Amino acid sequence: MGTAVELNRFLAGVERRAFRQAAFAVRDDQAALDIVQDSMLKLADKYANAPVEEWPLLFQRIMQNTIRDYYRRQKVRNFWVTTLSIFTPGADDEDDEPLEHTQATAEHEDPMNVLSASKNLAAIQEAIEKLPARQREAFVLRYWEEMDIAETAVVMGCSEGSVKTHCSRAVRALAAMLQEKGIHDE
Amino acid sequence: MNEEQYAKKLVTELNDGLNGLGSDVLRRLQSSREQACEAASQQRGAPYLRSAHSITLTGWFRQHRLGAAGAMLLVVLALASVVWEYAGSSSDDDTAAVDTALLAGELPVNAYLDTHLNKWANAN
Repeated sequence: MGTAVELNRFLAGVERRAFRQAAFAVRDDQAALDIVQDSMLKLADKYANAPVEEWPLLFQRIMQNTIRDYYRRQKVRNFWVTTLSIFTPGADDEDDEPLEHTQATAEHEDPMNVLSASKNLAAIQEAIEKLPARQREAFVLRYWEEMDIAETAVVMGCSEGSVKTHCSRAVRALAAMLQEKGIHDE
Repeated sequence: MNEEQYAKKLVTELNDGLNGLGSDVLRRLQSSREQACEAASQQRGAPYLRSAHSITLTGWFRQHRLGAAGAMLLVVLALASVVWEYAGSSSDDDTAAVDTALLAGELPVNAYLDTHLNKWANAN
């Protein structure tokens, strides 16, 4: 059981990574901030009484579920946008792309990436965004959140073997993408 | 460089990049965090999160506010009635004793004017 001070300290420790993790997944900073906010509130509302050492795992599970909820809502929204655009005259040339792809393109031109102090960082972030969702999830949880294989499997809802496979594929894919951009491992 | 080492190298870069987040993002994250902590505190009605084993006396009073107020009112009323009863009976006893003494001729009428009469009546 934690105090409000401990909860504040925990959230302060994870919030930046959580934001970046959500941004990798949804490719939209505002949506990522909403996801982090929802996740924090859900943790405080439902699991504030849980032991402090369980918070990281619980928070990650909540984050993953909130990101999936976002995908579902986006899917429904895209369906209606696409359906309605058929009946909208003159909207067929530019608005063909689903909303998600449009947002992804906009994100690549995000000034934050352009002005990033490190060229490597921008390339790494872009490469992580391009990873398949499960590989990205495994990479972030296992290496960035420093969870062990068992914990990662619990959060992802899969076997430990799958976690190892996803992690391995993710690292190899990242290495290949970064190599294409001229960033080599030394 | 093996996969693990390579991943750690990438993570180091990612962690360094967290320092470059915009001020508007950081403000929003702080605001979200504060809302979450406030929600957790409000849920418990206190600034500290509490376990089922650590319910304090103040916590009990907060949960049973109406019952506690009723019990305190009953105690005050009981005390008031005891005091009232005691004060009334002692006053009646004094008056009866003085009246009897006057009728029996043990006291002069001027005894009414004596400020120490109560002391004398109590002594006898």
